[in-house]
Amino acid sequence: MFASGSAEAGMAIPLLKTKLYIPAVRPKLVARPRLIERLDEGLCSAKLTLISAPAGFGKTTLLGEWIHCRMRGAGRECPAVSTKARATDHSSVVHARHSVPAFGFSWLSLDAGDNDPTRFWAYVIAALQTVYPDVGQAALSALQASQSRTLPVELLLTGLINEVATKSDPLVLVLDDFHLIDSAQVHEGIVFLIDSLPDQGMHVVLSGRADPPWPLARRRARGEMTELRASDLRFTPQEAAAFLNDVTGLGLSAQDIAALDARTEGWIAGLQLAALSMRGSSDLSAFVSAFSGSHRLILDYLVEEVLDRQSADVQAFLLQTSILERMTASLCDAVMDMQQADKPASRRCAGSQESLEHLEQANLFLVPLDDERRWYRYHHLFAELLRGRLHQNQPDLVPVLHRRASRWYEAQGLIDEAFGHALGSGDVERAADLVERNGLQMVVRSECSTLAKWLEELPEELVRRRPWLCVCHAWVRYYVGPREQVEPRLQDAEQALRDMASAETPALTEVERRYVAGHVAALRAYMALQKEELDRVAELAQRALDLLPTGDYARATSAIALAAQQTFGTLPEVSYARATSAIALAETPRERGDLAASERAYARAREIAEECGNTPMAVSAVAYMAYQQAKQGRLHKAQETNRQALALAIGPDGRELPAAGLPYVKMGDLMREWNELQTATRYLERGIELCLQWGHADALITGYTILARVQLAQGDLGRACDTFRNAEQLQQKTDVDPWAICWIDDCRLRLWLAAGDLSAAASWAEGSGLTTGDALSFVRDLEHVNLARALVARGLHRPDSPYLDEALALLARLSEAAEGAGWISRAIEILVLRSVALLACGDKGMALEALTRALTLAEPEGYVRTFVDEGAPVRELLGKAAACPVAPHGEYVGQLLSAFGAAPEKKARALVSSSDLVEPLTEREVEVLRLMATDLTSPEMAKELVVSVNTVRTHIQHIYQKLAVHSRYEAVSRARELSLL
Amino acid sequence: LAGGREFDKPAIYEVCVKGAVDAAWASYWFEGFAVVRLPNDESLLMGQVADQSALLGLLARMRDLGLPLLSVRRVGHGEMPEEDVQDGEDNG
Repeated sequence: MFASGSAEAGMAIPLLKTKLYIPAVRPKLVARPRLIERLDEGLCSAKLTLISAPAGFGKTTLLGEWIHCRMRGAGRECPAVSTKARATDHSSVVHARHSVPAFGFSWLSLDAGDNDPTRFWAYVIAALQTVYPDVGQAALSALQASQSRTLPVELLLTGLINEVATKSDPLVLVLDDFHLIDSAQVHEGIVFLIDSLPDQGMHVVLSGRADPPWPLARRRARGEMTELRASDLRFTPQEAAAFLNDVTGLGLSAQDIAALDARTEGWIAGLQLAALSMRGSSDLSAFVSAFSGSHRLILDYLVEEVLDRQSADVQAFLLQTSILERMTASLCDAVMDMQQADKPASRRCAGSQESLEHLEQANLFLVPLDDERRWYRYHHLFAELLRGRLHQNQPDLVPVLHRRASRWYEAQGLIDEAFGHALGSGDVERAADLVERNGLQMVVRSECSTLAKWLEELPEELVRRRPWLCVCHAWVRYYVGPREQVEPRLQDAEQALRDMASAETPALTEVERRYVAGHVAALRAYMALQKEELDRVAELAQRALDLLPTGDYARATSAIALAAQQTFGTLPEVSYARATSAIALAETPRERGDLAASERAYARAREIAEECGNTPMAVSAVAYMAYQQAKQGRLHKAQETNRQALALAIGPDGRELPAAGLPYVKMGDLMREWNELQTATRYLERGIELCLQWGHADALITGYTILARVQLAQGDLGRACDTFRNAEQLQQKTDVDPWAICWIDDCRLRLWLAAGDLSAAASWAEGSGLTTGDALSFVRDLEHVNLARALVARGLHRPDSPYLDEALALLARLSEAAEGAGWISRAIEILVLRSVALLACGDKGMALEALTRALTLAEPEGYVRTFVDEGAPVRELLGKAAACPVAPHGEYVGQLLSAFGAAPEKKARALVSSSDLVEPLTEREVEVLRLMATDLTSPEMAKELVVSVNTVRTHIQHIYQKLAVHSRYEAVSRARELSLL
Repeated sequence: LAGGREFDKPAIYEVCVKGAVDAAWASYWFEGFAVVRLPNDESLLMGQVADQSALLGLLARMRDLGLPLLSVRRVGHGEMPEEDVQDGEDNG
């Protein structure tokens, strides 16, 4: 429920452009037409290309060359092929015939940090945007919104795939070093992406040292994947010869080439190292025979040879900079401790830039990462070997180098790298300082997975000692779970504060300790709200507000900002906790039914949020106020309040903020009630679009369920079920608030009843654990309304059962509670249900009385759907009401009856048992049907049944036809009716 | 299945790779592992890993260094035994 939307500015996840750089092609390369052709064919025949081979097999180089060929001339012959093609090489001829359409190429070099799903997908989208700058903007903003951690990535990817599909030229996404990904979540997302790609439109290339940990055999067998493996990538003897003589110009004899090739077995890195060792050597044959005869490991031998041939300066540079993942001159200067600033400007440029350029020219495994020669990296394998040698020769220097790198990265604001190097230097206190200074900002930016990873890499004892780290960890656990681990961390924070209070020189000032206590209270307020401990919510949220700084104390805040800035960041983060507490506080009276107090509290929450510059949260506060007004039966007032929220939700650039999604959705609900179904649809579609960008799961669930009800009102059960599935998926995949689950149950129940699936409704009611005798909850009041609805439906079906009496008893209590609380909308809904139940009992007089009371409450605000949605019984009663000699609501009743007329009647089902099916289901279809009743996706079903996704889809289509339904939901309901399940 | 608790405990593994691994060199890459050169240009690395994750980390490092893997075998539980690794026969 909480819209912890962040302020707009400065929230973007920092992205390194160098990771998106398509590797440059070295001027001299061995042309590999046979492999280029395989890659081209892969583009046309499958959605996935997998390049899997150990280090040093030329994977990245090949991909770089391929892309540059394709970009130079799509569909034309690759120039490198024509210049190098020999008469005997038939592949170039084949290649020329083979016309490849134009593709847009995007590249992402992965590193271990990309196991954070938020970061991974942000980078993927950034890569795609290098080709099409307009794709993925909604998905990217959803990822960067605060609550995106709760949104399933499938939802974001579906939108992205659809956007890509509209583009004229298909896209290729290359993910290099994919073996570094070990996050199950990222793997799931990638599999989903590949399985969901349209046949044309996008192609994924995964390149790495190991196969991805998902089943490949089936894809391979069905030709859904093109593969290049070590055996393909090894240099053929001809390629080795071309490399040693044409590219490196060594001029070796055929015999020497054969010997080198035999020793390296076409392993490219080995040949390259050998060539480097031989350069400048007077007796090449002697080298070759020594190398061939050596019993040492090739790598070990060759790296030593190569290093020994470098000058002392170059050796030092190579070894000391080997600790870096990426290099730029000023970073290398820092690591080598070259004090450039002390030197006169004229003499400065020497040093690292020169060294880097020298290494690049000497082909010493240096890979440029941009066109400007600013960023480089070593070839991975070479870097690993250099690092090994550094550890062996100068172990004492290693921590020093890491510390220097960490400082440099921190100064650049690249905290992930700074943290990694701090750990590398063994200086955990420094690493902890970095987390402390940046952690809360990362919570705001929703980089929770990265933050969690850092905190886990720090020693537990250290985290416990530092209250801010405990607070950060508690926020992370609140957002990504496990939530039961929040409280222990809060207790750790408090213990650390107590220890500090008795210390002579506490690490935190008194002011900061207050803020920590404020964060602890704010988090506990959230947790208490989840557990519905309402007294505690009020107390804790108020405490948080008291402890955290307000805008009123100008002097105090500037001192506070200064103090806070030094140890933990800037003021907005303090405000972040403050603004969220204000919303929590406003929730409390609402749930107590005290509506006037609630309205005041929301107004205050809006003020505080605006004070903190947190517009999304101010918008949420106003939208929640509107929701309260609607619940109170003040629909027109609610409409006005929602308009205010929309007016507030405009960004500095004049565009609507994603937070506008919430008021749009709430507006849609009002329009739905007024039976303005087309307007409602427009509002809801816009609201859902914005909520997706916002990444707000609860608001999205509201949007989907309301839209499903609109579609149901339009008589389109199939579409309603499809829309509803989105809400259900969100519920399955995210930690949604308990009241959102009530909305889902409400909508599901209505869909079941519309589909005539009474048994599903009955088993829900029995499995829900709810009874008519329960104490009623203000938080989940809808829960018991749902139960009553299920009971009424069962009672209508079997009037002799006790269901109707049970329903009536419950409805009487609910009605009393709702009217007592002033929840007029709910009271009307309950009265209408009551009239339906009474009519079914045969008590027409009482039924009419209940309905008349509902009409009295409803007429001033013009409720429509609350009556019409209940269907035929209400229509019958309204007809009777209209026929009354003194009809008190004559005109209104007339309007309602005409709304019934407009509503298309549900198509009567002809089929009542499975034997009535025109064409019986096959055994396989029944199997598929059983899986459809689970929450498996089509690809998952395919996996389960060991068939292709397309086969599953075909089965599903047949099932739909045979059952005369249009959605999975309907199919399952129908199958249950027919006892097929 | 993730296996039982047994695999959370230290165990001794021997890993056979292709190539003559130098003991000094291996002491950095595979800390705490003894290296035995075998005939046929193979090397046997033997040592203790803390748990299954540590073992997989070790194998990933071999992959990253381009060492072709011939066999992996668990040869004992708990700590390294006192007696040293015996010079093995061809283990490929």
